[in-house]
Amino acid sequence: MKVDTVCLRCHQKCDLVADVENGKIIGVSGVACIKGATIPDAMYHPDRLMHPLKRIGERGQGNWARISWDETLDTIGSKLKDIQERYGPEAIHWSGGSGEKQVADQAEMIARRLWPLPNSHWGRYSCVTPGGVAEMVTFGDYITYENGPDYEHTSCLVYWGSNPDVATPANAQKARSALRKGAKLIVIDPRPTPMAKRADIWLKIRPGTDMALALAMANVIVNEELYDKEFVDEYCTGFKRLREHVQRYSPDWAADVTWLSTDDIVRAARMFATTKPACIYQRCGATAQRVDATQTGRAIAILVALTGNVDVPGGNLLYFATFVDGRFWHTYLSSAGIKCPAQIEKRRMGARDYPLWNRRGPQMCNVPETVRGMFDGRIRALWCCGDNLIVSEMNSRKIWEAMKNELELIFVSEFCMTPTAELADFVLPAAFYTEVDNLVESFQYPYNYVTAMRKVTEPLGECKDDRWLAIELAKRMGVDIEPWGSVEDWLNWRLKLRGVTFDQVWDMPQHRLTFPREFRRYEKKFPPFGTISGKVELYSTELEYWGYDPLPVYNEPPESPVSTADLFREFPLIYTHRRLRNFQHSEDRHIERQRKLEPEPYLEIDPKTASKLGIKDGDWVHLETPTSSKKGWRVTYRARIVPELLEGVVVGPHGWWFPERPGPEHGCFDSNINALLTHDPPYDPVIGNTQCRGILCRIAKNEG
Amino acid sequence: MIAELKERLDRLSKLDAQELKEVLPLIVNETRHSGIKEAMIEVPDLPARIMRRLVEIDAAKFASEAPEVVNCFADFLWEAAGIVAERTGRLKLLERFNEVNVSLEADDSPFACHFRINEGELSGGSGLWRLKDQDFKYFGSTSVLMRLLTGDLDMQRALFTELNFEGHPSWLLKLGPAMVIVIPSILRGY
Repeated sequence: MKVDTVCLRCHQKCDLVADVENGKIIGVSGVACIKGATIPDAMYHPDRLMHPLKRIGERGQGNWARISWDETLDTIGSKLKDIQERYGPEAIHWSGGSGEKQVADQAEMIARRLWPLPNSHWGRYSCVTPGGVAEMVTFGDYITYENGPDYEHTSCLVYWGSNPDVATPANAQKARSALRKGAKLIVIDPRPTPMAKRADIWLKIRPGTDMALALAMANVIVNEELYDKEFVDEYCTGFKRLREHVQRYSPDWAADVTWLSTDDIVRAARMFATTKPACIYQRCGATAQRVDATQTGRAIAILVALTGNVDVPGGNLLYFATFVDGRFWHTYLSSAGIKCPAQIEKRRMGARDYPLWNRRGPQMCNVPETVRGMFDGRIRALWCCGDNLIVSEMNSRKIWEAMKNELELIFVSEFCMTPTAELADFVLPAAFYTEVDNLVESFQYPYNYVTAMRKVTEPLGECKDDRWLAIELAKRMGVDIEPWGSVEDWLNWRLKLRGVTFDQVWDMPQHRLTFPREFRRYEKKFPPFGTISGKVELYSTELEYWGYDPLPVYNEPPESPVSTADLFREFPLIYTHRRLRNFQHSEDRHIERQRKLEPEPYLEIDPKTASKLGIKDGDWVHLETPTSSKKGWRVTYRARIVPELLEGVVVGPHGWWFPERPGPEHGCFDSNINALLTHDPPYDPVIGNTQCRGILCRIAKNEG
Repeated sequence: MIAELKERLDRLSKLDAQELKEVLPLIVNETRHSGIKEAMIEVPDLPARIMRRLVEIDAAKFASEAPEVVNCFADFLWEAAGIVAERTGRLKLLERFNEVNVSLEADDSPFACHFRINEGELSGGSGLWRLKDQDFKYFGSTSVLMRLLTGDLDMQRALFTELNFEGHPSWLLKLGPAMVIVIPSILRGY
């Protein structure tokens, strides 16, 4: 039997057809990558958790007893209630990763409103949200996020620190279609990604200096009058101040800072500004995981605005405006629409210190503050919902310590045992997303629809939907669960505004609500953009209101060859991350077909550096940072010599662990950069995240 | 009675928080006694004058110290607004929606109230709608919410700075004319 479904193994949401026999998925078709192909491998893996487990003995000893769901829910529910009464709802923390995708997100929304639950975070707090907040204060909308660029119809595509063949393979296919038709390609990346190698201009930038490049490009575009005068005059504010501001960021200046040539910077600026339409895709490369992430996002957003490539075919689409009919399909807008009661909303960790983030971001707490809260008693309970927190979050060792020794209650819902689950009091078997009913949003050209995703098979064993778990725990906590007494209620409530039920959407053609989309809605809207001035804010009055720089000001990374020259002599390399084509974040290291493609954690090293250090391809090497070396911490990788990688830069995978190594750690500190990173300052002033790439390091070959 | 009420209201600007805690219930009672409809004709800006005074003296502190007084006022506020809306037919001019249930919740005090607009009729009182019945919620400081109701808030700026909301963003647009023009005009008397 063939059953339509959607792949939620990454953010692309490819349509799939599952081949089902005897209640089991035996294959899938329509996949764009290995992660889709291995859905059956993940579902039927022998390590899949099937029953609720309760810890016996000390945390981390690995002794578990099988218990019933009733006992699990009663015990956790009463403990949560007790913690709420003693310390307030803010003492409970929810942590979600990319696992289980939207189902986990929805479980959090339900808990946020019902329990209530003000302190939650997803891994994306440090990756997509800084750029997102930058774009919200500029355009009142997202624009360069993966759904923004109109890849297929562009004449000039800029990949800024992103490797679409690995991260967003379905979008890479669309981009290649435009390239075949003659579109220009600019890639900004120290690594020789497939796109970089075929680019018209490849800017091998020094990690951490993207803002300098963006400001210098703005300098060229403004001074050579290559900007879109009509769009700027009609729809932007602050142009004069921007023009004055960028004078200090000349291409010559930026060439020194970025390790690029003046000529290349000028060529890139001219190509981007004069080839219409053009679009930029940036995600975690330039505007994430750094202390200048938000303002770098601003600098790049300003380039889109200056060139008028705003919501035009082939340009960058405004995520909410372009897809507005679809995007606002449900009763309350996804993460932003559902709030805790007002006084509890204010108690979110970081809400006071990062007020703009708290308003414009997706209602997440500040993670460094939350981890501190685990030690000083402000956080007492933790629900990791499809999140391998210890592996995927920086400051792994500290989080390990907090989970091992500090918290009163930890429960983890997961597909298989992880280092994080090993420290839990309860491990709960989560239903796979093909085992639950769901409503899946796909808003990205040419898609604009919400799909009813009916469970393809029944959940295995005693696996349960996390949304059900959030509701059942709410019942045990004695709170008003209306209007979400069941997952079915939740799904139908989300469709209330549309006047249809989940079953009715399932019966529609392709099981989906399809919405119209329209370019340049801002021409008909008042105000045209969702900002304080109602225009695109080149000079951000919202940033100014909250006390931040209204125009992006370049600062060197906290550790760099320039800002810490002495340290650079001792730690002469710059570390950055890369995505893996076979894994989504820290997931699936146990899935053989995926692991085969990259079985070990490889550190990419340029040939000259490797030669200087006597490192050969395949050698085991270890890496230290200035902070970790003081503590004697290091991580090891298999060396991969990469010709054309920018000299002096090393690139590692993030979130590596070894399910095959002994528990409870499963090698989570062995080859994972997060084991060397801390939550110590400095922080991005708007978002509060730390610098976890573009950092100094040194490497050496392992002896013996 | 109306004369006494007017006299009390004239002294409103001179009252401190302690005095207002005693006087506000008297104003509400006297207004009810006189007939809210008549009182609102004679003193059409009565609700706005009270809220503006509360903002001046620190509305959050007042509401925290005298929650029952503020609840009593919120009940009166929406009853009065409903009567004026019916008399003037102002809300009937808005044809953008048939029915909506809106909550207002302070994040710095127990002040909370709710209202419903249903085919041009306005009703409401203290406390919040239950989630299952609520379409939209504004929240922020007590002072911001009171300024919202009296029309003293720059809505475009406040939405990015002081005022929060829960619910579908399209309600912001749909409710805009009611929240920015009609309800403040009902409560201010013009």
